[in-house]
Amino acid sequence: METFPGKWEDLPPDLLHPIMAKLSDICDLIRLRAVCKSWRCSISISDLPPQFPLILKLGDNKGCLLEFYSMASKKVYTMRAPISSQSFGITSMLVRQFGSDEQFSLLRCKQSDQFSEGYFSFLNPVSNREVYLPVVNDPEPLGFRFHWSVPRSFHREKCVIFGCGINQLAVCKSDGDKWNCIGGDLGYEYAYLNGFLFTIEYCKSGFTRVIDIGTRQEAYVIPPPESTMGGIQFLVESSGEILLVCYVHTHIREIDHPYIRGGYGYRMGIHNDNRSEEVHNFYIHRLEFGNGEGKPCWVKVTSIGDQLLFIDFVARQAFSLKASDFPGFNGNSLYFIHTRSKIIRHDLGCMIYRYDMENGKTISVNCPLDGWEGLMWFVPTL
Amino acid sequence: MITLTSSDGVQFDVREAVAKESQIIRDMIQDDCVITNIPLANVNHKILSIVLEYCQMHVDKTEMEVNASKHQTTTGEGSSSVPVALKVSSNKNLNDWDKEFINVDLDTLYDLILAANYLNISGLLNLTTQAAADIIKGKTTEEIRATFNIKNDFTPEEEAAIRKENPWAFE
Repeated sequence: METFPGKWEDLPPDLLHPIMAKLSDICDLIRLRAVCKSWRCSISISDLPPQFPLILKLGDNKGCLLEFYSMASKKVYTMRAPISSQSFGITSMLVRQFGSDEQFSLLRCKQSDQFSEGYFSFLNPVSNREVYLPVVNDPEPLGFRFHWSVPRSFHREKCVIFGCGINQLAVCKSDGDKWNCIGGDLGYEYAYLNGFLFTIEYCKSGFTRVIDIGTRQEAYVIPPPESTMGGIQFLVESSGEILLVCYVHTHIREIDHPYIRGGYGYRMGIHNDNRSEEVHNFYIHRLEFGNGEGKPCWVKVTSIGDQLLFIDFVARQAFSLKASDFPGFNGNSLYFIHTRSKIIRHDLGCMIYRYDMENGKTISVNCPLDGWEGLMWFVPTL
Repeated sequence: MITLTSSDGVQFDVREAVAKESQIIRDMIQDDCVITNIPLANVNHKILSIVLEYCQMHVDKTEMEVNASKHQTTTGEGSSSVPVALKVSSNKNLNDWDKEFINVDLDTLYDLILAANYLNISGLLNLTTQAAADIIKGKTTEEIRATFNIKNDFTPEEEAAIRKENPWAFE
């Protein structure tokens, strides 16, 4: 495959872009930008095509070496967190909540010994950048949990972050300088769409509050759909819609004797580990706003079309991406991180699964990282 | 029939449907229906013949499918599953054909990308840029340079600074 020198480096930028857009691994893109000056000028970091989430191994981050697995290219990458993190105070690094956020995905916290203030920064191990959030005033800043919205536009200044402490729910823009407190029930699930915060209340079992962030007023309270009672719930913003994902996990044990099959089979509690089967079920509802007529309500959906949902049951995160942005991946399915079944294996730790909305089947996804202390979705950006 | 003339003066007579795979030619024909000869200043005869081979194949396949489904309907044995199965197998064949077709040297691939862009043939542009992306995937920066015969025009200091931004990607 010989080619004339100088030919490819003169490829017009508008033709380099469709090539670049087909590179689903951020590593390929970084290497491409390092080839020559004209390619580096042609490819801006803001042109980064949507990235398929990497899987981050949680656990011993003392050396600040972070291991990531790319499902798209089936490779493991090791990134080093910026040096400054090692001088961080009491809590060096909290690798915790993140959403399908764009810029800064890892969070770490420093707490002064004397004051109830928390200094939080978002850290991007891909590009070694770090950005501080406004100081959090809370009796227990380390317990402050974060969730953030990500508009599809991928502009950092449009990102909205929700913080939830012991007795406050606060909101700030990622480029803002202070937190704005929002009253009422703290809620336990959050989603953001067009200036509204959606949260499931603690107190009123399963009611969803819709809050206008601009006015901090409650716009609606939506009763839960009946079928979601008893499951684990997530609120997800997905292509301009709000989805309520409800998960139900059951174990079925099969027994070989034909005459005790059926009704009595699993109640008899005969342990046969090889034959125990896990059943993962997801029920999805879409928020129907009702075009100004009538109140918003949940409507059950049987398909999520081209969307791919990513769920993490351990870190309690959920976000949505378009499958058509990732060649080789089919939509209408959910990827989820869950602890291993205790019945199948005696050890704990996390596994990755893929649930197909079409046929309701779940398969486990091969991941070479040891998920002993947990795995987490991480959307890489430059 | 329409005559397409390459930049080096070679004429190709093709069916209108084949020429119309190119958006730019489609627009020209729509604007002026008596047009019969189109000079293409940016595509030489070697590349144009490859491009036309692609267009011909894709038009033939589409027409075959249409005929097959018509045949099914007229003979009355057309339960809907048959044409679907036929279509799937024909799409598979076309994908295989595309794969074989794009197995060209890098000089030709480069010219095909430019030609597909100039003639605005979206399927061919997608196929060629995908082929280029597949060649890049998984290669180190040095391997990309060697493959595409690109000179490293960064100073050692500049290169070190670039690597320092995302060191993990160069390990």
